[in-house]
Amino acid sequence: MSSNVSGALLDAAAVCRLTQSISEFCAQQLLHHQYVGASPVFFEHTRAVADGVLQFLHKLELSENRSARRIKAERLKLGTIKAYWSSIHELLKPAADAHTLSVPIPLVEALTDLCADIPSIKHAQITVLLSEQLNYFQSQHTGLKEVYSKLRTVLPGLPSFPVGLGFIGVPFSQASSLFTNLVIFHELGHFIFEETEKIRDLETIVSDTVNTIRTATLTTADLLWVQQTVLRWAEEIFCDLFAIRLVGPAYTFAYLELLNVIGGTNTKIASGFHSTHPADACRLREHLAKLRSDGWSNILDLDIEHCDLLKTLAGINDSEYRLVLADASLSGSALIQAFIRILPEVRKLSEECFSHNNQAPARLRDRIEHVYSCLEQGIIPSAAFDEQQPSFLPDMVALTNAAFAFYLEAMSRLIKNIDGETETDVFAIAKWSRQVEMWTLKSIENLRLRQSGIANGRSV
Amino acid sequence: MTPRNVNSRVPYLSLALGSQRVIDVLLDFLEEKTERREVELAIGEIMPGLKAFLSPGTNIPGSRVFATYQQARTVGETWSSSELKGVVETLERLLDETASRSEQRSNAEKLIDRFIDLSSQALSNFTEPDDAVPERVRELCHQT
Repeated sequence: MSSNVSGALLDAAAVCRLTQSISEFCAQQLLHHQYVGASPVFFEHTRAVADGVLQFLHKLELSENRSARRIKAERLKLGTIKAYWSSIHELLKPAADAHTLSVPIPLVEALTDLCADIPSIKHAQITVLLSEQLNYFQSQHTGLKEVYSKLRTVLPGLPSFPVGLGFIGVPFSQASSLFTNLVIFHELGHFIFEETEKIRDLETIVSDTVNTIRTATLTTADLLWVQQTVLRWAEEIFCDLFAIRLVGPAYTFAYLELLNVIGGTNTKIASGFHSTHPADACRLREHLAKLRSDGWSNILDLDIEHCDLLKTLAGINDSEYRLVLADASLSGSALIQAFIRILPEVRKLSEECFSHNNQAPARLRDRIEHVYSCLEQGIIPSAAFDEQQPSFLPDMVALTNAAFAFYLEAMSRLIKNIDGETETDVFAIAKWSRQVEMWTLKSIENLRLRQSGIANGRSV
Repeated sequence: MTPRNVNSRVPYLSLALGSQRVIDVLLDFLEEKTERREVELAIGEIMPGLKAFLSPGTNIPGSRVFATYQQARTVGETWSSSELKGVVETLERLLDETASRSEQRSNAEKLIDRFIDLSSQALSNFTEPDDAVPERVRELCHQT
C-alpha cells in the first residue's frame, strides 16, 4: 500500500475516533444533566452531525485504484471535518458546563421570553456557554451556519441546522450573579444584528463611508479589513442601544461593573478603539444619550458612583479618541472619524429594529421606593406586591433596575437592619449583595410565573 | 483559543469548504460522474468573487465565497496576480463548450490542483490565523 493511501486511512481513522468521542460526550451530557435554554438542541444536533460524518466515513473509498488527486482531495476533506469539529469543540464544553445548577435560570428564561416578543428573533434558541474568560461574548451563529451549510454540500446527508440556534457566553465566575449577567442582553443584540435584513443597509453605508477615506494602494483584502472593522464597531453600538432599550440603565450599570473588574475605567484606557471594539468612552456617550431619550433621567440623578463615572467617560471629547494598534496609539485616525460619521445611522437602525413602547421608566419612578423598602427589610419584592398591591407589581425591567440601584446606592440600609452586621464590613456587603441578587432573581421568577398564569387564565 | 477567535477563524473554514465543493465537482467531472450543469453552477458561485480580485480595491459584488477579509487574504497568499488571472481564464475555458474533451480534462486537472492549494492555505490559516493589521491599512490608520 502506498504511503499516500495508508496516510489517508490513518487520517480517516483519526476523524472517526474524534467524531465518536464528540457524539459520546453529547450523549453523556443529555443523560446526566438538565439544561435551560437550547443546549439539548445543540447536543442533539451535534450527535446527528456526528452520525452523518460516520456514514461518510463508511462510504469513503481510499484505495490504490483511486487517483492521487482524489486521495489528496479526500484527505483535505478529512482535514476540514477536523477543523469543523475543532470549532464545535470550543462550544461544547462551555455548553456542557452551563447546566441548571450553574446558571441563573430565571434570567435565561426571561431572556427566552423577551426573544419570543421580538418578531425578528422569535424563533431564537439560545444556548448558554459557561466561559473561562472574564468577559461576555456571543458566538456568531451566522458564520457557523454558513460553514455548516457548506459542509452539507461536501458531505451530503447531514441534517439541517436548527432554526434560530445561537450561543451566548457567560463567565463562570459570574454564573450565579444577576446584575453583571445583564450584559447578556447586549449579546442578544448581536443575535438580532445577524438576523435582521436591515443590516444590509448599514453595510452599504459603511462601505460608502470607507470608500471616502480609501487610498489607491489598498487591495480588496485591505478594504474588506477596514469595512469589517468599522462594521464591527457599529455592531457593538447597535447592541448597546438594543440592550438599553430592553433593560434600561441596569445594562449600563452592568457594563460599568464589568469595566471596573477588568480595569477599564481609566479615561486613557476608555478612549482607546481596538480592532474588535470601539472605545468604551464612545460607547458610554451613546449609552447616556439613549438613557436620556428613553426617559431614564431620574435614575441617572441618583447618588450612585456609577452615574458619575458614566457622565465622566461619556464626556470625553471625540478628539481624545485613539486607535490602539499592537505597537502604536493614534489620535484622530481617519478610521475613527469615518466611524463617527455613521453613528446617526446606527442609532436610526436600532430604533427601527426595536421600537416597542417602553413603560419601564414610568413604572420604576412609581415603584422604586417600594422595592427599596422591601429589600432593606429582607423581603422578596414580588411577594410583598403580590399580597398587598398586586396591581402595583413592577415588571421585570423596573424591578431589576430598582434592585440594581438599591445595590449600588443603599446596601447600608439593609445591613443596618441585620443584627451583628456593620455597614463598613466588606464581607457583609459581599454576602448581602449576593442575597439582594437572589431575592431579585426570585422576584423575576415569581413575575414570570404570574404572567404565564395570567396568560393561561389562571390566578397565581 | 477563545470563542471570539473561533468567530474570526470561521471564514477560513468557509473558504476551505467552498474550494472543496469546486474540487469535488471537478473530480466528478473528470471521472464522468456529474453533469456539465453542476460544473457551471459551482464555477458560477465563485467567479464574481475571483474576478473582483483582478481589480484591486473594488467591492465584491455579493460573492458568498470571497466576502471577508480573511478569505480575500487567503486568496492573495495562495495565488499571485498572474496565477489568479490564470485561474479565472482556465475557469472560463472550462465553460467553453467548443473545447475538446482532452482540453477540458487538462483544464479541470489544473484547476483541481489550484483549488487544493487554496483549500490547504485556508485550513492552514484556520489553524494559525494572523490577526495583525494589514500593512497598507496601518498607513490608512495613520491618516488624520
